[in-house]
Amino acid sequence: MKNKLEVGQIRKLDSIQGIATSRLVVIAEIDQRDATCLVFLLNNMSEAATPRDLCISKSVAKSKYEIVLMTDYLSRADQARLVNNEILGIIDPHLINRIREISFASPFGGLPNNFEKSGVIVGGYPVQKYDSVWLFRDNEFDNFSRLTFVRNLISLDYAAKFYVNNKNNAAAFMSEEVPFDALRFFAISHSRIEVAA
Amino acid sequence: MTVATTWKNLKDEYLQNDGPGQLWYEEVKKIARSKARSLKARKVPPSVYGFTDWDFEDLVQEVFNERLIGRSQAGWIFDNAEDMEHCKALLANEVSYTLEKKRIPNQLDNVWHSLEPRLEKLGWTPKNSDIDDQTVEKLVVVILNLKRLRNKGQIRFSALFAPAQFENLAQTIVNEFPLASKSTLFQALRNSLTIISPAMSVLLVGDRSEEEQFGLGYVPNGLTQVEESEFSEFHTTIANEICEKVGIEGEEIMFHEAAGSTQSEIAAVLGISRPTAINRIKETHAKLENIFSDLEIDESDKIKVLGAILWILGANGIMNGKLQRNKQRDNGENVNEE
Repeated sequence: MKNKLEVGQIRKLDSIQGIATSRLVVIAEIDQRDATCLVFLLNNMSEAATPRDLCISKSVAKSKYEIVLMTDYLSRADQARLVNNEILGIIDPHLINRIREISFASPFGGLPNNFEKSGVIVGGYPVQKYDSVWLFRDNEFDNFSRLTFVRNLISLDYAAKFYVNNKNNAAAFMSEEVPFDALRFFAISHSRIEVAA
Repeated sequence: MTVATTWKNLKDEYLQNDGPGQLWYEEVKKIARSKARSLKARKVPPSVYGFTDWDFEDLVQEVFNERLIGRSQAGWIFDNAEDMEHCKALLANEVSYTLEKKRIPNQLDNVWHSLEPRLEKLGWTPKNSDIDDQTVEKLVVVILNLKRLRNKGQIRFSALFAPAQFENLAQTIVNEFPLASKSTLFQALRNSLTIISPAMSVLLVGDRSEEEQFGLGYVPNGLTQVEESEFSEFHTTIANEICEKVGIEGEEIMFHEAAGSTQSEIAAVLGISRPTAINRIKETHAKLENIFSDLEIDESDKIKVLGAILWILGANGIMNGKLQRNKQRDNGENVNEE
């Protein structure tokens, strides 16, 4: 069952067998050029939420349970590993954008408590190096790093993905942001089509 | 022959009941039993977690009712888990979390909470390494040599050491044991407190030499008692507020001053140097004066309030011209002693 991906949806990010286990994430941005999206990692330890985390109530997340959004754990994942999983909750996209703005504006120390919207609070667990919460976050980071990737816009991989996703949409190649290699693939394939014709 | 539960069985049961059922309960039971056994093997008393014995059924109930159903964590596990192993790991998290939440803070927590900020102030950062037995042994000697606050038998987990002693200890750790890990420090404190705590009980039960030295021995029969009824609610309320404002150290200073202890004796009781004790006494005087001037009460009321403070601090009469102190705070409730 495939549901259209949208910003704010809470979904399970599929595991990679033998490498990383699945986790729940919330979609923060969708990029159709290479069929990827930016996701925030979620957890359920609201009592152990640090001042860099946001505790989101059931009513705001429209889910069965409270969730903790780890603002520092934002990374990119393939849409294919999200699209088949059901929607477990939805956070208002405006709130997601606001969370991104606030966490990026204050990259160090605790997050400012600027969330007028009720149902969202900044975590209060004091971070303590090497305690059990530290180790939990460390493990979560390792697992999340394996589930996600950092996109390199000048890589051949990105160009290939861009070409594969847009090869039937010539309009997509009109933009200035098209990777050079993707343009090359497109040109080669079209010249072959013309030769064949 | 029992059939092993699979993740599919658990999922089916969850969907059928719209929540966790018997199979989930059995899985929690297995994990809780294993946790309880490991704690029992490490000789951790069940009272640490508020249990009367290591009957893991209590723990299972707690996890199942409060976490899996009450906090909908079964739903989280259902949505999140990939397979049976993943599910078991998440359930084990819930069991550990419940145990940690039920853990009752102890004297070690109190001492660590006073020591840690002082260590951090000196630039100490926790290190992640194993316990170093040799460092533990040396640290235990250092901790045992620190002067301790008198155990008044009034607060279940007293501060044990005066602030100055914590600062000395932090300085010693940073200078002499810079590589000591957090677990090493914990082990040293644990070993020291195991030695100190029974000694404090012995002091309360038998050895009165120190108490007699400061004129604070137990009250013998026939002594004129200070009764609660001598103080009105107005006086006791103000006295309680003052006690809160001056803190534990201030309370000790007030009592010892009233008992006629010298500055050196007060310094010895607080485990600080005499010049520091003089400063602390002055600070306490200043605080008292400020509170009284803010309240604008008569001299007679001030005397009553001071009397009520001493009563709160356990004073219950005068013998041979010296103020006597009861071993527990006379506020109508029995306070657990160390």
